[in-house]
Amino acid sequence: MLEIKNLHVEVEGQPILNGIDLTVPKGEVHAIMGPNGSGKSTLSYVIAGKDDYDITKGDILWNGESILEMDPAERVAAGVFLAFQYPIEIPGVATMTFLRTAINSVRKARDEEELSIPDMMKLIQSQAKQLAVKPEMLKRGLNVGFSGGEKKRMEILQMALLNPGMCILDETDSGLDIDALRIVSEGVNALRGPDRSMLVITHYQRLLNYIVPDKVHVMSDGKIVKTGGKELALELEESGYAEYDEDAA
Amino acid sequence: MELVRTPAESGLIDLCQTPSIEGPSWFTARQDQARDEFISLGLPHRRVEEWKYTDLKSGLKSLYPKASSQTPPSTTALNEALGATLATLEAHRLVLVDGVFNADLSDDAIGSDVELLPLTDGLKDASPWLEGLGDNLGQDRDAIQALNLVTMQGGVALRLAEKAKLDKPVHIIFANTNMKASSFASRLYFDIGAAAKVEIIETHISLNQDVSLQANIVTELMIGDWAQVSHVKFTKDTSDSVHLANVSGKLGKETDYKFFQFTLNGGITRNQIYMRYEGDEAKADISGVALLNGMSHADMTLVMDHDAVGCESRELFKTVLDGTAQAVFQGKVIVQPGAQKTDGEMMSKALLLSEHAEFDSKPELEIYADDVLCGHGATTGQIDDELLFYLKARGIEDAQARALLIQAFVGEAFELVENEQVREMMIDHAVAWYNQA
Ligand SMILES: Nc1ncnc2c1ncn2[C@@H]1O[C@H](COP(=O)(O)OP(=O)(O)OP(=O)(O)O)[C@@H](O)[C@H]1O
Ligand SMILES: [Mg+2]
Repeated sequence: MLEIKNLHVEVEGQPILNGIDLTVPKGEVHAIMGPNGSGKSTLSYVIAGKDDYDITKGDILWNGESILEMDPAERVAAGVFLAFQYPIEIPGVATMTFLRTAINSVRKARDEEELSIPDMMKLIQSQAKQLAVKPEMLKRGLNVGFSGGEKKRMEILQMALLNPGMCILDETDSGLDIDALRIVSEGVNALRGPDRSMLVITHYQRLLNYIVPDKVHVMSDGKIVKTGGKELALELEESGYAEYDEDAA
Repeated sequence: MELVRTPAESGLIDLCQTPSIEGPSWFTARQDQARDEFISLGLPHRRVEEWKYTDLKSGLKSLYPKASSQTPPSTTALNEALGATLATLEAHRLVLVDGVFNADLSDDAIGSDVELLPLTDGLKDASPWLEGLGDNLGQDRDAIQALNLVTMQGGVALRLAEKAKLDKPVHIIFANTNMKASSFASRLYFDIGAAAKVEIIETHISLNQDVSLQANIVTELMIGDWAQVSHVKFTKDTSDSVHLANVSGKLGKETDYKFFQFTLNGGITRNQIYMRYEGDEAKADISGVALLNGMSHADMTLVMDHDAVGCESRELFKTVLDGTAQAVFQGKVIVQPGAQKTDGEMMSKALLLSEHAEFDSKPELEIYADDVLCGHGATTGQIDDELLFYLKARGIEDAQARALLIQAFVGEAFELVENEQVREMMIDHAVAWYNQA
């Protein structure tokens, strides 16, 4: 279970998150929607442990324990994974090498046995196939020259391989064509289970037709301003965010 | 103005009085000239333009005693010092013990179209193909080149006949057997016939770990038309060592020369390269990786002198600096009048892991022809926090994530090492270095 309690975050003295309260119980999928700049990615980065942010108040608990003092790699080992809105290209780091290093690092941190190279290859190749990640992509530099959609599929592949208990997906659907959206959603749905929670950030209700959420939250100006069931996404699609925008009011 | 001599300088001048190698009159005349040159120049210091960033006069604190070859090492001891990969490298071995060629440890049969001469013997016999030796391709010698010519204790010369192709690379091993810090000067001379092909792997090792060295090594390459030469060099000296190397090459028509230098730490290291393009459409690729920590100082100084039409020079260097290490890159491309269609591209990139490390880069273009394409670039950067966070957000802990990023930074350069075994060996050393960084 992920619990975010009264979270206040600033960047260079500028408040961005202004008291977020959010709980994602075990096994549930929650969606966050909200206008550009409302702080969705900031929230996801803070959960993942990026250190550009000042947490001025509040706490983030994963399975009852605060993760704020943990470094990003420890959070992944504990089960918290973020699929980036903008995956980064790392020339010179071969995708396959990277995946192997990541998997074994996490296994080691979880006191699981490291995988042998053949077992590793088998695991990676079978997951890659499910997400229609071409074998040729695994040979290239990490994300280098990947299309927008390929990068997003690579994020989900990593998520599947690292076996997290908490999946945070930041606009995984943006940049995907219709087929890719279906493939990625199927990949995500395959990971749904009673032991896994998800927080899905999106602008489009279409994704939520595939990945049906238990709850939908609306974020505006660094706060959760409304929470509802999956039908809330449909309402937003109709009416937009005007009623939540303080400036417009 | 009277020069103020440092103790090291005075010691070197003394050494110059009694050359170790005798030779025919043309050779002794060159030595006499070189002696005068060294005495008048003294050790290079920061007011000598080419040595601005590597001041040997202040850097060479004291002169180590001249290496005296004790009992040569056993092959077993040599293999142990080489490490598993190099010991099992498929290659013809040429071993120089404390700078002097050792026939017992070396392969005697390199090939029927290859002539091998320990420099002492060769000079006594005055083989005519050695006549370029010490001439420095007709260029003015600097103090270090002059010093080498007078004080060299030995070396080896290799001549490849026209179209000679070796079945294996030639592995030149400079093995130091001294128990205490010592100095030596040695020389390699290659006369490579037209359309011949050779791969040279040059390594420097100490039989007794952590013994410091002051080495002065000159390599001269006369590369015939259409010949292909690949030359890979690896040094991993102690922090009290001084390694001064000069490589000069004369490139014939449509030749292909590749040089790769891997410098792992060390004290003061300078690799000075001079390539002269004499034949049209010759190509040279000069590249390398330097991983430097502590107070290591590594200087790569290149002059690519284009004096023919349609030639190409490519340089790519990657340097990673930690601690208070300093790296120097000086790259000069000269395009002589008439050397049209010259294509020269130089790139040197440094990654600073510590705020106390320093990278000095001085690119220079001297162009006297109008139809040429020359460019150079140098960058200095640090590990990118965004990339680091991305890797950590995939469960890779900080140290390993940094190591991956350093590896990614230098990887492009290691790719240029064609010999897979040698490349893997270098990468293994590099990985051990990243993991300590
Ligand atoms: N490092 C930073 N420095 C300065 N401002 C920042 C920084 N990171 C985020 N912000 C600001 O915080 C606000 C929230 O940004 P964030 O990226 O979290 O929004 P978002 O809800 O993810 O938007 P989008 O829907 O466009 O992805 C924006 O105004 C942004 O400019
Ligand atoms: Mg965002």
